[in-house]
Amino acid sequence: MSLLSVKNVTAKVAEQNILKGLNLEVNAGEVHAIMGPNGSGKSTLANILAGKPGYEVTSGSVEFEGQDISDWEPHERAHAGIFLAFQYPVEIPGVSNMEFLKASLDANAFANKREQTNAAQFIKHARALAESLDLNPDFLKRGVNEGFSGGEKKRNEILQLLLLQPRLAVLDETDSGLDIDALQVVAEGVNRFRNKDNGVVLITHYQRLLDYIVPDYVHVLADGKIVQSGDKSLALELEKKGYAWLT
Amino acid sequence: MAHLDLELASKPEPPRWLSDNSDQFHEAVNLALNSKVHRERWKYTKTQPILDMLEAPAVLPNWHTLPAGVVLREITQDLQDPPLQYQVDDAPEASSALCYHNKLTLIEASGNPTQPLVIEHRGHSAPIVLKLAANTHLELHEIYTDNVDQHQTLWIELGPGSSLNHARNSFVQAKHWQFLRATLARNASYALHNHSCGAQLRRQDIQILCNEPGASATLISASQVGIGQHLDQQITLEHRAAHTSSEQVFHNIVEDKAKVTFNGRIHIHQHCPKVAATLQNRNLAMGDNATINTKPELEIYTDDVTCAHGATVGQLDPHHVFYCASRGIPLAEARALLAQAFLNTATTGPLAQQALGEFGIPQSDNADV
Repeated sequence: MSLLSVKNVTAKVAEQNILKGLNLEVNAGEVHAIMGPNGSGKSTLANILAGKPGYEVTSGSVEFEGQDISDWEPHERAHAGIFLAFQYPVEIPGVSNMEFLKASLDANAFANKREQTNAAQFIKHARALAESLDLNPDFLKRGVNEGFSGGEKKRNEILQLLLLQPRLAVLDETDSGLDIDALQVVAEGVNRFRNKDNGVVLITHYQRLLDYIVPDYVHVLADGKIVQSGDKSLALELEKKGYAWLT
Repeated sequence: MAHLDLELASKPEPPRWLSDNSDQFHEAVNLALNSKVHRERWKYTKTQPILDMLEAPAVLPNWHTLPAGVVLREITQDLQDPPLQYQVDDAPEASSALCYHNKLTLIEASGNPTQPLVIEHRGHSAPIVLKLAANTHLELHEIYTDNVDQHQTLWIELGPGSSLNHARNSFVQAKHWQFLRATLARNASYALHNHSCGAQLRRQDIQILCNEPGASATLISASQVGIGQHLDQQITLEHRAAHTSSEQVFHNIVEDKAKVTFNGRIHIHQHCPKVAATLQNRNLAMGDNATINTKPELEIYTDDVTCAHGATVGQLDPHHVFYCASRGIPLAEARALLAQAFLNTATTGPLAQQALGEFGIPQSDNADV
């Protein structure tokens, strides 16, 4: 079943054309890795999918489960099941992680007419997820990402992914800034998330992440469009040859 | 000669301990009221409505149960020894307040009272003088009820080695003037947890005097200024001795058509090395027509001190709003959550939970972020 269908999308940011005819199809149960050199449009794709203000689709279409989402607000996309794991998660002092997670969970439950998780169950679940990601549960009491190391911020993104259980996870360079142990923890979290009903778009610079999260497809994004697609072996080839031979 | 257009509504008789000569006192008050320094302090708030409030009859506060070690007396004007340190020039309107009521309330604390002293203001209060004996530690809760215009003047004197943890929740919806002056002796420490919202006009004068070595003061404040409301905060931190320290954090949320004036002055006198002082004023504008005037000031006359001061005026960070929205939190709720977070970071002390319950959901007309 098609989860995400990006058809011939062009997009601009601050009057600069970044995506120039991008096509991508993601079905349930699939993991798609997006690789490419700096400035090729990888993060723009992630922000377009999440609906970040300032990122404008100028032509083409973005459909999620058959519905055109181009005009949807970011929170409406989240309610539909799109999740963006940020490359640079922000710090929000004054809102505890626990409070933020509960507000997110409740907002999604309300929008989808589901019953809210009761507070005791939620706390127990959130603590268990934190522990499974090698995050001290005391982190849940601190401000959102406040004073977290880079690795802790990325693990916190995965905690949110596992808690919210979206239909499509877009991971924007989740491996950047991680040491090898943290990388394994994060990868293990993503692998725990993936199943036959959801999809993952994995944006990364490096092949090493794909040793732990084995993708079904690898795409190379260059100058705003997909220039090459293949299986995991393409990533290995890129590791040896770089991107120059494709652009 | 200064142009004298500010004056007291009437000429109250000053108590003997304040002045032997009534005419001289009134002349000093009028000159101080019309001085350049005083005019600057009242540049953004009209003085006369506050002066007019001074002669309104006082309403006795509710003292609740006084903790053991705390003695309260009402003193009439015929007292001979000054019950407090004062300077007309520093606070002419507050000094005048000492004359209008035929009494003041003197509270003396000693030992280590285990229960907090609670003062519940129910309108205009007669001046209150709170004195802590040496090595006394006290917690003070100051709360305000009844939505009527009111003013209070509170004079605090902290003895050597004493400490006061002062929580103040001001949520009355009226015209409100609060004057607070604390003098700190050797190794005394003072902490103020100041929370406010709701007043159509609130003026907060806070003067802290670190008079002897080892004195330290911490002022943490969170205020929400609602649509069309006005908050004016005038803070002076006087470092009059070496090895004194202070920290100030003032967060204000300013909604549409609301106005905030903040003037925070750190004054380090001559021959006061090893002073450490910081001041941070952050203002979050929640509407296109919010007005914010902020002036953090450092006035330093001694080398070898550590000081930092700063002020920011801004709106919610759109990256923060997007982060919340990407997790499914609708934009209006995201803005409210972030605004409350901004207040939370400066909401501290024993009345913090109550304050968080009182702050409303900040209103914003800006849906662009």
